[in-house]
Amino acid sequence: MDQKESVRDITPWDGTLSSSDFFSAACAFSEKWKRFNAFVPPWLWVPSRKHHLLSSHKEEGYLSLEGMCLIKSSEEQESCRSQTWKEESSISQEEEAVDNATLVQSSCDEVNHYDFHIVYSPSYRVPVLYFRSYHSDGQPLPFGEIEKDLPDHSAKIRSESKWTFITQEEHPYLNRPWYKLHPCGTSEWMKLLFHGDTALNKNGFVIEHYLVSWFSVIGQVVGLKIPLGMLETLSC
Amino acid sequence: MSKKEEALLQFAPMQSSVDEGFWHRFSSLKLNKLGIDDSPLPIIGFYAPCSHSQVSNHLTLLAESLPSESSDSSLVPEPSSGNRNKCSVPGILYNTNTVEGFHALDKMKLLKEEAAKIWNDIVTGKAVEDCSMLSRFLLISFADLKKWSFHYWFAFPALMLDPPAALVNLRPASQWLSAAEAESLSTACNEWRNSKSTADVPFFLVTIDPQSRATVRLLKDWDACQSDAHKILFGFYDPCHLPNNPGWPLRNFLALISAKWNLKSVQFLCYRENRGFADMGLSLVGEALITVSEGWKNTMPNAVGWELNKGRKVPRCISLAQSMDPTRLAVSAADLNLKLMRWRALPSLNLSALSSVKCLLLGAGTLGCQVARMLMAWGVRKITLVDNGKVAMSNPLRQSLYTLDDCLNGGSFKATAAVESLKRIFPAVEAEGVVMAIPMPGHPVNSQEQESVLDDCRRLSDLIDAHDSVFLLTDTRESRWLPTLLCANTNKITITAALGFDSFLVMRHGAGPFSHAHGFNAETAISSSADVHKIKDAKGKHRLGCYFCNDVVAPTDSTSNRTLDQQCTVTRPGLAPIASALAVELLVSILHHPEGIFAEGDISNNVIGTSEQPLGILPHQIRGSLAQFSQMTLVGYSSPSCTACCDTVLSEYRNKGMEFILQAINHPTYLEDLTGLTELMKSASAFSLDWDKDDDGGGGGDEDCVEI
Repeated sequence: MDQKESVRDITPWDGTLSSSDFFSAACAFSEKWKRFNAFVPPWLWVPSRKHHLLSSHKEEGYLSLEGMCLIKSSEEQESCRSQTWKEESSISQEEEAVDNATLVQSSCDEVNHYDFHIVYSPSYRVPVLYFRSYHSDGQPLPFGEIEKDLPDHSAKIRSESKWTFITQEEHPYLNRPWYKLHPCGTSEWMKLLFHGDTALNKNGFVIEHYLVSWFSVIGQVVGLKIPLGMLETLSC
Repeated sequence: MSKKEEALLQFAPMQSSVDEGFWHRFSSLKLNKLGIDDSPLPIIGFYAPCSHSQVSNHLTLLAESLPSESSDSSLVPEPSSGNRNKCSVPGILYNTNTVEGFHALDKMKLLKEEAAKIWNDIVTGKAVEDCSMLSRFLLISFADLKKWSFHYWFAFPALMLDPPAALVNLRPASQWLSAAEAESLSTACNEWRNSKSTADVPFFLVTIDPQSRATVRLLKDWDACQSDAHKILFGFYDPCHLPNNPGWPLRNFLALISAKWNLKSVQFLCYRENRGFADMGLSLVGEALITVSEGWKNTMPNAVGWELNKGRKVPRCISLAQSMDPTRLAVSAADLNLKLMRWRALPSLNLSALSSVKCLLLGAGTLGCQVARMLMAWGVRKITLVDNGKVAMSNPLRQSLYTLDDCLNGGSFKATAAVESLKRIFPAVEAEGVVMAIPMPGHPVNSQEQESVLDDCRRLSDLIDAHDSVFLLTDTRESRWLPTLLCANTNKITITAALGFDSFLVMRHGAGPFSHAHGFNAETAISSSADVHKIKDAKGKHRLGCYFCNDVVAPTDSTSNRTLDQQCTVTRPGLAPIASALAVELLVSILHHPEGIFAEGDISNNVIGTSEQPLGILPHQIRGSLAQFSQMTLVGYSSPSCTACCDTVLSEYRNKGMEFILQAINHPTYLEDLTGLTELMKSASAFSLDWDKDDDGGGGGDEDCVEI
């Protein structure tokens, strides 16, 4: 163990994390988030086993933030979303009893729900942000719709930085296509964020602050804000 | 406290939300376990109290709402318990096997059946024991597993009070309760919600004693609550967020309260949260007046509850083709691959040019198979293969689209087998196979065959017209003549690949003699019969040559008089993949060059990074040798006596059309006479030089490989 530590001190940090470091980083991140972010749901750790044959590594899983709601005003609604449905299946007025006790709602606002997962990528050795969006009834949103929800500067970041782009790929645990911010450039800019300071490797400073720093960049692309209080913990 | 404004108590309808995972799990269950069995399936729904001041909570179906797929488990889903965000509610799913079946379901009957179950649970007292029964629901669906779309309709059966209940008043709990009471109730509710045994119990009783202490209790503790001085509230998890209406679960709750405990005036608590904690400002307390007749509870009340779809009583439909259809997933994965290439390495990559270019491959053998695969790898989707042969037993080894199955029963036609193979690799490819022979000069046809040969000529001409780029990948020299001529006539991007025993040639043909350079677009090479520039094109540049430009003999029959093993193309196996790959890369480079077919021929100079084009140089010819493991780039210009592309030949073709083609096919020396090659050869042989003693000793006559 000692030898590993000293090797780590000498070699310059490459911006990546090991899988168990990710777990520690995730715990630190979600705890800080709860502390500074009373108005938003917490990040929860979801333990998951990918390989059922291997011994269960209880630190394997991902961080999940679900149920962020984005309320769209009625003018922004896509009226073509509802399919024109033939009247074959409707229920005639005579069949169902006359019911005055049901509130008839005028057009209500559409809500876009967002789920975010922070998943570790073993091949790139960095965290990756996965996300998806759906309407209240469960219908998934196509990317064109999601793009309208992203903040204006997101498009700018994505077009200017060759390191930041959104792709659709299979979620490693849920086996369904989710959107993600491609991780190919993450280790590069993480190195920059920490100024390549090898001394930081000592006493786990990097691990504790990794996700906070990472999120301060990634969050901007999807419009998730990180409270100032959390960022300030980086300088101590 | 009580203003006697007796408005009708109006409930906000329950809303459904089906997670994608539910449909995925259901499709899998249907395909692997249920089959055509359409008996009703028990499912579990989940809801929780509202936790957002502007967004209602929904009754949600997730993947775990369905039973598991493992063969030893019964068809009953695993109940979850103790999860505060997922109160389990029993439901039933009727899925039909056809869309007609879906429309034909007797909806009122099904609603009545489920409502009857709720009523039965109320009357027998089961609902008091397990109150989640009050929110039982019904789901009908039709899963179209070919199109990955799901038609569905929820019903949340609500027993109707007759006459309906009246609302005395409704206001936030913080206004109805005193400050001390509100605080005590908050604490009690938070404890209730944090205890595993009660967190997901959605209906409860609240008693408030004269000391403002609130206690939350299970429904079955009703008798214990009958102490005079206590205020009693009937509480329930309210998914609705509206400030002036209670949520749907209250309907059946009131039915229970009236039938079981005979109350006429009910004070209820719509329990709502904010950020996971009880919120007495969002929660509502109201008073309802129930005025049903004495005999009301003796018969099953009427029920309503079909969910509206944007205000209309029609079912909903969700399409999940994007995330479930394997073909679509393959397409988006392929697109991602190419986009990554563009983002990371080659920003000027023209993906739309690649996906729209139409490629014609003449020959579906060793070269054709490899070229097709490489084209698909570059995102080319429109590929036509022409070949009149059948797959032979030795083919699968070198011809990468075929397997043993294609050789059986005499062998499938190559063109057909190749297309099937391409579709198996990538279903979204638009591939077509044409079984046709290419008419060749030097292979005369008799009068009976004439018409069909002319047909083939016309067919070939049409095919070339319909495509943007043509690959000449046949195994004889003479079979390349007619395509070269037709391509030169229409100025199509033409790429030739030819193999020797251990050497190869890959080249792009120059523009035709009648080509017009103005407004050139790589994707739509249109020829116009403008000025006849003999060896120069419209830009005044020397036209690059075609495959035949360097020949001094016209293409003739090279196949007869060869022994069997000489007729088959025998080459080092590595050549075909190398040459095919180069041919495709050459096409991609042409498509990205601003001058396209008119681009000058570059020569490699081994200095990296000196080319102006992002993809590098655009050579005219690449000749390689495996014997040397070497490769070189050459430039050759068009010959004024070329039997395939010179303006004399093309003018004859334009004037005489098919008659000219027939002449060339039937008369061995016609082309040579026409182009003056005959004259050239006569004058060459006029030199009396003794060449004979330089003949090699080994192997006179034709060599056992195709001449390059």
